[in-house]
Formats: sequence, structure tokens, C-alpha cells
Amino acid sequence: MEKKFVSIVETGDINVKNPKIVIGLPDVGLVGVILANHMIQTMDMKEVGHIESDLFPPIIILHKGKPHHPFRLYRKDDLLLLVSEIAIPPIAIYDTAREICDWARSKNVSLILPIGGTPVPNRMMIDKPKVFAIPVGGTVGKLVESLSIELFEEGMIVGPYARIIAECERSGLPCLTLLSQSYPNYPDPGAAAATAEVLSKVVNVGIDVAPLEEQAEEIRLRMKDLMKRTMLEMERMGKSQEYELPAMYS
Amino acid sequence: MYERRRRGESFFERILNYFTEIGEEIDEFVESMFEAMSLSKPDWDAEMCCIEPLVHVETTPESVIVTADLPYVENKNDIRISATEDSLEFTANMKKEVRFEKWGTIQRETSFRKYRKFIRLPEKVVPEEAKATFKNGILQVVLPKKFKATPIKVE
Repeated sequence: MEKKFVSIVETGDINVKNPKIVIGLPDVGLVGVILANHMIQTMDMKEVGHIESDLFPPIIILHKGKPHHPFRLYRKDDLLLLVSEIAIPPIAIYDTAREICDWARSKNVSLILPIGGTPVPNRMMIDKPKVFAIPVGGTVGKLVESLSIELFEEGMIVGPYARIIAECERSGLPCLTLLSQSYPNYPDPGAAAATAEVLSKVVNVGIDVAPLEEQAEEIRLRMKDLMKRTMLEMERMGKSQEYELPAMYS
Repeated sequence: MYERRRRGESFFERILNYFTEIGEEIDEFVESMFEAMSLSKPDWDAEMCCIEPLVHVETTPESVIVTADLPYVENKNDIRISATEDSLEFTANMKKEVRFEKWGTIQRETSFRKYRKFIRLPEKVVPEEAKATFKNGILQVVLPKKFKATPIKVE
């Protein structure tokens, strides 16, 4: 049997029909991580598993005296959520994306929703960041159209989400990546709030964005070190290519 | 690997390549050491109630641009900046004390009241001509370069 380098370990009840899964991995502006943490708190989501791998840094998070894995799985009704407090090392990206997609397929997931940021140099001047969609699958394209979400039409995506999109495209899994305009180097709760508004329409769940705005300063300070680590990993995986002109033309 | 490169090279080329390769390895090692050092030391001082902010330094043909994320800093009057030809230093007071019940390695209540950061600039600048702005919690300092490129006409 082929050795798996990354595994999803279920520790709680995940018996749910056609769930949707939101993914918040450390990326530009930590948009996905900020939004995922916000949803866990405000929607009272329960921890139901984690992802482990020998390729991840050897870290355990202690909260209220109890150890927690840094890459966790949560559930509330038919909504699942994956969030990571560690930047995924480039060496683990392919296996992590493959494991998430294989596992999602085994659970008959109806929609995978990677949440991230797209870096804009003039973010300081933008009050309301735009949110762009990358749909994979015909029905997802129609959903994006019906909700009038702007398409991310040209450019490059680098990192774990690029591999998740590729895996979904290859295996026909419905996937909708949402990318908000974001600070390239700083945690961006404003971008997470903008994405929350779009995401709540997609998953039909109300997400209260007010706390995100009220606690923006605390979030920026608390996420400072994760942002620093993420920047290092993004540099290693060639994230700056997202700024480059795409060579494809028609 | 080095053995394979030797074929077809003169003695001096071989010596030069050998030292170039060693130089590259030393550079890589030093860089990784600095990277590890910058992440292995805490970027806060519990006694001084001081913490380092996230900063970003970039260069354009004309300037060195430094930005910093300063949550809890309310207005520009709370920021003190000074610069030399090759460094920038600033402190910024927070509008309130930020408390953490149990802080990381020291496991005791810790609070922070200000940011402090010293940055070694990548190029020499003219500090007297620097301009700073503060908007949406982001400080931006634009420092004109001391030695600017001379335009060359294409004949």
C-alpha cells in the first residue's frame, strides 16, 4: 500500500450528507485563517478532526491547558471547516491538497471553498476590498453568475490553493475559491469581512461581520507572528509569481 | 558535481569556479543563519512593555519605502521616527494597554503599550527628505535614495 504523507484524522461526528467545506489556510493577508477563526467562534463550530503529517513542523497548540493540532477540522450542521495555524511548507503542499480532495470526495462534499487573498499594493487606499471568484465545475460557474461575484479572470495562483484547484479540476470536484483584495504582508481583517459577506450568500449561512471589524486591531496583533512565518513560506514557494504577467494569450 | 564541471575548464577557471561555489555556499549558510536568528529571538520585551510590529521594506528606482502595521495606534502624533543615511527607527504608542493573560514562554500576564523597531536600510538614503504618512493603521515612510541612477540615452 502506498504510504500517505498527509492524513485527515476524524475525531468527531462527520456523518453529514453532501457537506460544504470552507478552507482557511495561511496565505496572503491571512484572509482565510481570519475568516475561519471568526466562523468557529461566532457560529460555535465544534472540532471534529485534524490533519497530520510528518512534513509539517512539529507543533502542538496549547489552549486552556489542552493540546490541539495546529491544522484542525470543524463542523456545524452541514458546514465543515478546515483551518491551519501553521503555514504549509512547500514540500507538503501537493500531498495536503491531494488528501483534502480525496477525503472531500469520500464525504460526497458538494462544494469546496478555499478562502484567500489576492495582494494589492495600494490596499491602504481601498476601503471596501473586492472579492473575486475562481469557479471549478459548471454548476459552480452558474452559482457565481447568479450571485454576481466578479470572476478572477487572468493571473496566477501559487501555493496550496493552486493545487486544490488543480485537484478539483482533475477529479471533477465542485470548487469555488474566493479571493479578496488584501494587504500582501499584513493580516487583513477588512478583507476577511468582505469575503464573509460573499461567503454567507454562497453557503446560505449568516456570518456576522461586525465583530471582525470591532476586533480588527486585536486580530492584526495576534496574527502578526503567523503572518511572519507565512511570508517566509510564501517566499519559498515563489508566491511573488502572482504579481507577474501571465504568459498565456489568445 | 564539481568533478563533472572540471572537464574542458582551464586550471584558473577551475580554481575560480571552486571559490565561487564555496562563496555561494557560505552566503546561503549566512542567510539561513540570519533567517533562523530573526525568528528564534522574541520580538517583544515584557519589561519595557514593547513589541516589534510587522514591517516591510521595498526599493524603487528613486526611494526606499518602509511600511509597518501598527494596530492600536490611533494617530500620527503617537509615532516618533528618526532616520540616518542607512537606518530607520521608530516608536509608536498604542491608544490602550494590550493585555495577554498567559503569554507564550513566560506564562504570565503581559501587557504592551508601544511598538519599537530598528531597520537597517538596504541602500543609503537622504533622511532630511523623507516623508511619512499614517493611514488605516499603516505607517509608510518614503526615503529618497542618496545615489540615484543616471539616465543613459540610447544612441
